[in-house]
Amino acid sequence: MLTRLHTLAQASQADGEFRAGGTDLHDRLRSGVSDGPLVDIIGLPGLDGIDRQDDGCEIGALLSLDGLARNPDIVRDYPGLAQAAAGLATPQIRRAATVGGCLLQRTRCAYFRHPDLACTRKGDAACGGRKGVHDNGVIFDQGGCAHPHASSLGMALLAYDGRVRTTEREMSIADLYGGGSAHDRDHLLAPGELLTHVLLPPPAPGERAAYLRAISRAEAEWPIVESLVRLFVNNGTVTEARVAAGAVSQVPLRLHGVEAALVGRPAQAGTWGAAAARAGEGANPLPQAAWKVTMLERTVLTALEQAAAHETVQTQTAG
Amino acid sequence: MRTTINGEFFEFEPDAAETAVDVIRERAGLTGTKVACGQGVCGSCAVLVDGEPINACLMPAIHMEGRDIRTVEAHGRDELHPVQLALMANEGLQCGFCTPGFVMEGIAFHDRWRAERGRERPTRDEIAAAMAGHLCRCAAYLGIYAAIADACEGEFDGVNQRLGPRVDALEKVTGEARYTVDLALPGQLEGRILRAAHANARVLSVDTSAAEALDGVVAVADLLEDHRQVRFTGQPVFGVAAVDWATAERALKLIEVDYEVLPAAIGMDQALAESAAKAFVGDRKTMASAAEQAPLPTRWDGNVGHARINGTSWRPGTARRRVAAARGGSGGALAEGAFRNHQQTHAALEPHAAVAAWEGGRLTVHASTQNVHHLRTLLADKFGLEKQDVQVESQHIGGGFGGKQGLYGETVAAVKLARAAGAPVRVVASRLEDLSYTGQRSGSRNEGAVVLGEDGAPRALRLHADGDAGIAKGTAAALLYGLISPWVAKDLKDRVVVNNTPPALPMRGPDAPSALWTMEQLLDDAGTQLGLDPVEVRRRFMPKNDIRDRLLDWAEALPAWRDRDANRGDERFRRGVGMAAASWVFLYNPNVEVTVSCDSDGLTVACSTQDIGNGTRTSIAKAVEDAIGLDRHAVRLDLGRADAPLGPVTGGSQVTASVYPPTYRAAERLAARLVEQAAERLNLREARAGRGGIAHAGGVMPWEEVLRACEPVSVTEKRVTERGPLGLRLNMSMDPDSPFPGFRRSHALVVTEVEVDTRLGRIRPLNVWTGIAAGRILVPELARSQVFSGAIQGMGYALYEKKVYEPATGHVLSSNLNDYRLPGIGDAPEVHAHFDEAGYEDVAHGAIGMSELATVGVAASVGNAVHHATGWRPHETPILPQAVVEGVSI
Ligand SMILES: Cc1cc2nc3c(=O)[nH]c(=O)nc-3n(C[C@H](O)[C@H](O)[C@H](O)COP(=O)(O)OP(=O)(O)OC[C@H]3O[C@@H](n4cnc5c(N)ncnc54)[C@H](O)[C@@H]3O)c2cc1C
Ligand code: FES
Ligand code: FES
Repeated sequence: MLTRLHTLAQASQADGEFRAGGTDLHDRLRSGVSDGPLVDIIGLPGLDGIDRQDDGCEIGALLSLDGLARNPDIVRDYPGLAQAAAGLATPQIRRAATVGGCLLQRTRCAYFRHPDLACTRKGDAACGGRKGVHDNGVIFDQGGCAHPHASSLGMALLAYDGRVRTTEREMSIADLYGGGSAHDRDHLLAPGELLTHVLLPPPAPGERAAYLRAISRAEAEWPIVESLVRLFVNNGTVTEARVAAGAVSQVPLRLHGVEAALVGRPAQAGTWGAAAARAGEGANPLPQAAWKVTMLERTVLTALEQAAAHETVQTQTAG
Repeated sequence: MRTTINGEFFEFEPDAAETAVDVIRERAGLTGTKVACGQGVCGSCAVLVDGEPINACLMPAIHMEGRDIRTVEAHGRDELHPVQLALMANEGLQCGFCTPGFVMEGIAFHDRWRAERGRERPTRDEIAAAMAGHLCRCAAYLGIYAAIADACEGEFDGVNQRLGPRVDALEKVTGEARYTVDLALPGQLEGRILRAAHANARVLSVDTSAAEALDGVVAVADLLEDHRQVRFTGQPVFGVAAVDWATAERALKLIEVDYEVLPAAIGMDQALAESAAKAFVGDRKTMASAAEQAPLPTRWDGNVGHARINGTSWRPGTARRRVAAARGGSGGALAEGAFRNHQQTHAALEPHAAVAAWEGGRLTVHASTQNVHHLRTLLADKFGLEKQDVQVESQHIGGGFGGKQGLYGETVAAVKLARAAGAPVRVVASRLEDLSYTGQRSGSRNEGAVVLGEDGAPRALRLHADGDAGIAKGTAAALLYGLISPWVAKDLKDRVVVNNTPPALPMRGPDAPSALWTMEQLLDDAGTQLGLDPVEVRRRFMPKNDIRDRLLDWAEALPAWRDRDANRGDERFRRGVGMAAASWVFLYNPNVEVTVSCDSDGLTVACSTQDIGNGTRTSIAKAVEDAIGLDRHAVRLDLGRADAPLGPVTGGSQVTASVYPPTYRAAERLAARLVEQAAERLNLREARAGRGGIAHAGGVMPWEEVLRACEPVSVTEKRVTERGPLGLRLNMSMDPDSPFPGFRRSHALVVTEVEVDTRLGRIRPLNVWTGIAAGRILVPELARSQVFSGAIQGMGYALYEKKVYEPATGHVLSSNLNDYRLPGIGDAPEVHAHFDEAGYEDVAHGAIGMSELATVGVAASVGNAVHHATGWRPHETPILPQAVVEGVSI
């Protein structure tokens, strides 16, 4: 069954799974992992733009990832976000996939995607991967599902202090995903709750950012781990930092230990190494995934070095 | 709902879950657009939506509303785009299954590039970024790079015909080529297979009543043979034919199977464990074989099959003593170690597929197969038919790589269902089924040793190879190594470790990559102990052989080799160059026949062989061109039909060596007959066959004209058997340096340059130089394509590809193209092909096969290059970042 939404007001009554670009959903429909009624939202008006104001930026949930990655305001003021969007999947996917869909996509765990295997996110009691194969599994384990969250964009927005607006409420990105203990879901929106916008605060003067994914093929590769780093440097000293990591836990994570080790330190090589060494603080990796702790430290280190080498964001006043 | 497809309005009422590709292929019947993954990974389904490439497999059908959709059919043979011309000219394709996707993405890229950058030549990286959403399993990436760059530079502007080397490229770049998955016979039903839910179980009962009662279900068929026993998860149990895929899928869920579940051993590690379950109970003669040759006589000990004799071992006791002595510090340099290779999946982009139709007692099967002729025999045997009552056809095959040589589940299901339904049935494996259940290259655990004397000459070799062929026998890496290694004391042993995973099949150069991965790396290490560099140690390893020595001279002179110790990269990104020598046996099929005939319209070659992208059509047409000078594109080809004269399997690197000589001779004889006719009928004086036509006193009469003037002629020729010593009829001819009469070997040397990111564990192959000594290169463009794809597929084996099983259930976790990682265009190194063509003059046309030769040594060369770069020796393929990060200290 298919419903098409033309106004936001219809959302709450709609019965079924929302479909935006369909790039995640149709993979699941084809393999038989998902079925049930669909509610197509691509026709909702006014949700595919970017509105850059002095006090931040509002991004429509139906904007394509390609549109996000190429938008001049985003490239200039939120370069890490643009890099993250440009670095994931393939050009064709980025053209069809939406910001909302990327945030709310379901896990890419092979157990979840396989129609014949058990998985808590499909409603089964136990996670197959936890007992079975999880060499790409979580290293900050919140229990339940063994596979990390899929969204690169969610991770990036965490580092940008992003918020989301839905048809019901407004909340932080962290609250969109919660603590990772809801093992049957990949986000905490209620059925019928539609994500309409992503909201970003304005960038800070003097900030630099870098996004990095550890991959072993050149393109179109899901990351082993990924990280987004924002550094705020004043007179050669790091005054503030945001460091987020993806593919490491059931939800995207902020690495507070790394941030604490950066603030107040000189913006120079020794600082990056010392801070990155704290990336694995608090990690409780699944056995086969333990090697990813080293990968995380090294990925964060590299992202810090790259951010430090990047131009600072030249914040401009919009309009 | 209304959309525009290729400029025409198209109205339809979409279903909720319908995608654009369903509309395009099923409703509009435009089968140029392919589906190879259905997941947005491979790009085979790319179409232009308002000018931008989009994965039609994921695009909801209703999103087509009001959009302008363009498919490859918009660029037919009269409206070729420069990108299509460039792909044909640059060999940017083999099997062609991925080609429509690359064409559409290429066109979009080209048009945007020209608008923004004019005739500037795009870089490799720019092309790779744009093509990142496309996979080509044949790995025609280097041709694709060149094609797109040339087209952007304007080289094909205003050109309206340039056909390039491959005679069927035009059908492929235009989407005209029809593959088995594209067939739609009148009344055709869709078949799906219910697969076993357990890895080892007895099927007690199957209840299909609910499924049969479902609206739209036409027939069911029992696919269980072998005493109701299933021995791997995913083994076919029952088939359903229904009006469409979705109905058949729904019906599968309604079938109830009652199993008696037995303990299983999943993978070789479980099968070798102390208290391992018995994977195979029953008559082992019925066990599948992963071997192309007859499986070795085997002594069974639980799950382990020991090869009773190893015919290529030689004084193994001496070898053992010498290894022990060397270990004790006397008697030369010893390198030994344990190595592992994971299974690699064929992953042809066209999945396994068959369409079967019965007419009275006659059966016609269209199948994606590497061997139409043999498939007919297998079908006749299985279904109790006379051969002449079975027809097998296959015009275009979207890749095979060894995985489509026999009669498999999907074909059996199609035949049984078609018989039960009284209608044609198509069975197409889903990507999950294809990556899970349709075969793979065996995995292995090898234990090897190399002992060299102080002078560097080999003293002893050991290879104990445990093969993981799933629920099959027939691995023979040690036996094979015996054939391609020097004749010294060698202790060679093959064991196959049978377990409850799908049976393995041969894959391009079966068993050799793993044997060389072990032995060529150990050879480097042993050489190092003696202070011998890799070239020198290989010179001394084999008895003197001119061909092999020329290859070593060539490698030694390569600037990258010479300077390899100077170009070491930096602290983090370390560079290294490594080499591996390889060798392969020469096969051809002496029973092959071809018929060359002509009538007033043209010349036709008939043979029951097929073209899976290897270029059989082109090899045959080129033989005619070489023999009588008729342009290869003018030769009509009647292939892929089992009732044509016997053709070779597309495997064992034997196609060209089997078909070229008889085609050449037949064309010559046909020309001679035409000369006689023409001289008589047209009164041509001093007529003789010349290049391109009949030369006579008054000039040259082109073949086209000759044919119009002559009566039809037909000539059949057989591949003549080359005779070995004592006049023995042998498929293989003598090699002076081989102890085995009848084996003639080809040689290769692979030199690979890698860059290792020691921090994040990524290995980037930068350059591969492949030296091939396989005699004369009859079709140079195809040979280069084989070298390129051999190198890139070898990279997949070395660096990315790994079939992973769920250890408790036996399902396959690497069952989609995100998790089963094929090399993409950005992963393709530069490949430099070098052909040393002399030394095989005693063989017909001086040429032996080379397709497998081009890939078997690649992984070993990568291992040696990584070692050169980092000082760390990889032991396992694929070499994943985890191993690098754990192995290399920084
Ligand atoms: C080869 C490949 C590689 C990839 N690599 C990456 C990667 O590295 N990182 C990454 O993050 N992603 C990656 N992706 C996934 C890709 O980003 C997602 O498929 C895509 O972003 C989903 O967007 P969509 O609009 O198509 O979502 P849909 O498929 O339409 O929807 C996805 C889910 O979100 C829900 N949804 C969508 N929009 C809304 C809304 N506005 N309100 C409420 N619910 C909504 C839907 O109900 C559905 O459950 C990759 C995909 C492919 C094919
Ligand atoms: S079939 Fe659509 S991307 Fe592979
Ligand atoms: S030509 Fe690309 S998959 Fe065969």
